[in-house]
Amino acid sequence: MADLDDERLLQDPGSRLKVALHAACGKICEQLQIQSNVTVDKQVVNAIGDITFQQIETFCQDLDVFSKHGKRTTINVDDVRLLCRRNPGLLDKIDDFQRSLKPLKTTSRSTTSRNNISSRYDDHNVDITVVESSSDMDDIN
Amino acid sequence: MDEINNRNNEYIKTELIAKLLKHFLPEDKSSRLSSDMVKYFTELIFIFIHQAFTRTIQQASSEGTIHVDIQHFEKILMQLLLDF
Repeated sequence: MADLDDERLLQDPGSRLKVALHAACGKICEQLQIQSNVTVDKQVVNAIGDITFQQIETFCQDLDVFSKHGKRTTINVDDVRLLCRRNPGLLDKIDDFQRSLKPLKTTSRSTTSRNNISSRYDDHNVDITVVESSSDMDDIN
Repeated sequence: MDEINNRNNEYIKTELIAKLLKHFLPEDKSSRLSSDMVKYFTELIFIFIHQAFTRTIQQASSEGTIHVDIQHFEKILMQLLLDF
């Protein structure tokens, strides 16, 4: 009985994607567990997988609306950068990623216009680079 | 310790993200994806998951325990969603 349910579950594309996403979260979790010497409960991995799935859905709706607003039929990189407007630290990370992919391409025009927009959201953000340093916990050990 | 990153597509595959995007986007003409955009979106989702785990682990460490529990996750969830 349980096998039939599993089969039906895996045929639904949404569920298959969810399972794949949970597997990816599990891999990331394992690596971080090793790095910081903690044990992470399975419930946490499931919760983060669910949250990510929902967040992707929200992002997709946003991306669709952004490209329509720009009167375009293709969703492109500027739409993704607009998603990151709420946190300048996040925007910097995405820009770093962009620079690492394309070292020769000049992005000066797009970065100046985006920087003007992101400076308006200075009040409620957490500096993402500070939170991320897992090396601090190694010192505790 | 080195920060983990998704350089070699090892944690989150861009193909998986492309399928997820196609699943959620409406089926009409106004939703074509540029291939560059999928790469950036994959990185964004990777940062999201990485932040979620790192903040949860840091919350647990600040409470002095090495067993990371759902309650630690619940405490960081609000700020995580505000930041993204």
